[in-house]
Amino acid sequence: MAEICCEEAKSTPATAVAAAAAVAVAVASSALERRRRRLEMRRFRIATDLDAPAEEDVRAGKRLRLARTASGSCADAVRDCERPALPERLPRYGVSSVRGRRREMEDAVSIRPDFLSGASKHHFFGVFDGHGCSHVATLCQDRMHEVVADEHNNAGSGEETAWKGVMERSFARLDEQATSWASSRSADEPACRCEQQMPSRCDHVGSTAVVAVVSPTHVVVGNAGDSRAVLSRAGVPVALSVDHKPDRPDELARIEAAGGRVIYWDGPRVLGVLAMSRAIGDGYLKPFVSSEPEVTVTERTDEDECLILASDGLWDVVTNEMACEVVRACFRSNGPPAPASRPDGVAPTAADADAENGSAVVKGMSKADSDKACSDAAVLLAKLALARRSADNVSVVVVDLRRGI
Amino acid sequence: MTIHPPPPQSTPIAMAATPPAPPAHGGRNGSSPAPPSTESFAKFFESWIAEQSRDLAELRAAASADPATPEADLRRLVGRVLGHYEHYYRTKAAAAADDVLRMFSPSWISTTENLYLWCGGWRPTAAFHLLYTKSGMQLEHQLPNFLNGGSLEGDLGDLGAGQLQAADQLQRRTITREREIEDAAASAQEALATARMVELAGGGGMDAEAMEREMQAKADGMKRVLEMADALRLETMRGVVALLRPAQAVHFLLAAAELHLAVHDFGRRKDGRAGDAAALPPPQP
Repeated sequence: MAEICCEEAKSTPATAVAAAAAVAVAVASSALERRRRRLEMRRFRIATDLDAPAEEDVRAGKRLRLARTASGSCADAVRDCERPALPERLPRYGVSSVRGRRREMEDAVSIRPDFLSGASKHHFFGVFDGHGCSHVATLCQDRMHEVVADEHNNAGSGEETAWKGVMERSFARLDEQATSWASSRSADEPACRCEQQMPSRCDHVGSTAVVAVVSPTHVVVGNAGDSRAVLSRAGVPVALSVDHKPDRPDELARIEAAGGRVIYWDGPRVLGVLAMSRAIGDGYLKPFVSSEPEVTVTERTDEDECLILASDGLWDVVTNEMACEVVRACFRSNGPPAPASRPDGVAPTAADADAENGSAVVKGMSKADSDKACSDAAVLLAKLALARRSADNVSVVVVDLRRGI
Repeated sequence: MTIHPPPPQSTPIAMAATPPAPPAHGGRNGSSPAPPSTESFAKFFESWIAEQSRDLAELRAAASADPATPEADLRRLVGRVLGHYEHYYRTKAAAAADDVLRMFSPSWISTTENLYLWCGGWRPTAAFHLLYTKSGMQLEHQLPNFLNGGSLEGDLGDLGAGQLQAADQLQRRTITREREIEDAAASAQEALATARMVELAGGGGMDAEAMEREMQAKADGMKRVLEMADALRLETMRGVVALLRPAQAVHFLLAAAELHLAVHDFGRRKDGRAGDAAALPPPQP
């Protein structure tokens, strides 16, 4: 939200985005220095950062609300933060997220360009597909990037090997926040669907999380659940995550070793309930459903074309090959992108109204920053999913990874 | 029965009203303002179906015209078809003011169509499923060519990013409105069991005058539900058309008319056969 209102007031896109991200990071980290809720240590394999603060949840919420209503202060922040424009290009990306043939919208997308306060630009992309209700997906959308930034700072260096731990700790922290969501949320947030059920089923809620951090040299992907990240490299799709389905042999073994069962009830489901074996949230299915992500760190090459993140609404009906082919066709038909200026993607629509009440399906991006070729590709993939009778919400993020053009 | 009467050959598209369309009755199809009674509404419905069949023929011709019909003409055609929907709901409102009960068990539609009734008509969110399905079919049709370097044509397969997002937002608002109307319907129907009603029922419902008064009040509640539902149906139709380019709107309205008429005709034939088999009199039109 801060990013959006800052960018709307900007004159030079690159500096404003950088400054806005810097503001976001500054706010988050100052909050982080306060104190931290005691975490259940048992769940963590890496215990080095357990004394780091994690009580940014309330403050983060406050920051979002303030930012929504006070674009003036955002403009001030931009002015105060005289950060030079970095030589690296901002990412070219596009996004499409629709409820499609479902009445509930439980997908959430988070796009945070230049989200680390480091020397080189790192961009955050996340797709979260909720189940039971949308509040865990929304929580991930609002906070995952802040937690990843915090964990990255704590890790000290941006070495590739450190990213595995950063992702694992971030997912664990989000899982902990999701578990305590019902008690920690402030009273003025809108009541959600799960609370209206009697008895309240707030711990019967979870979300997939596929998170990609794109740096100048690497693509880091952390994944829990059945959303997916796919890289197109020299025309060949490379899956950067492997879906956590309950019948995946190693997942099945893990669940059974923990004393759980996979029961076939409209497909394989953990305890006959959940059709994925890992997720953020779902306290009632622990430890069988784990929030621990699988992390891949991939070095970027000159042959990389694009990164696609999407919820299973796409992957259920479109193959990795077809998805990459569609993106490449959109890149072709749009011609080479201009390196400095990014053409406007989408005209502002009713989505702006959503941004104001804090329930936007996509958060963190400015419409004007959407790249046309990537946006075309994301929309085409979403439409293709609808064309192939996807019965689910569909969320697609396309990131252009081409270099030297 | 006649499925699609031939289109009026002599009616050029340009003759139509411009959007937003003024009252679209006209002598040419006999759909002059009907006196609001149930019987005449059934008659009006028949004439409206005939009118929609003519619209369908025109939409079909415009959708497949080569060279493409000028956009201004498409715009007028779309405006006129929307005007016919408006006329339908205006007439329906007048008939409902006279007798709301019939509107919830309409004799002029088939038992098959009855399956899909929501608050006295079609479910507004079905419009989005129709849009996504038709758009998807047209996209799949064009996809091989696009992947081979061709460009997308201007039909629903080429729904842009802004359009898809606008459709999604309209869908979200429509779902919310549907739920509000469902809640209103729940309140109206639950209100049957008021103390006054239970009291009257205890007397065997013999106090005809009081019964009439009470039931009229209940029916008024459902009349408001019908008004809200019909308003949402028309708004949804207009809203979807508004986010489409004229050429796309033609495809959407064409798909809507085709679906409605196909289900209507199917249902009629099915009811006709069922009626014959049971040696019953044919169903009322």
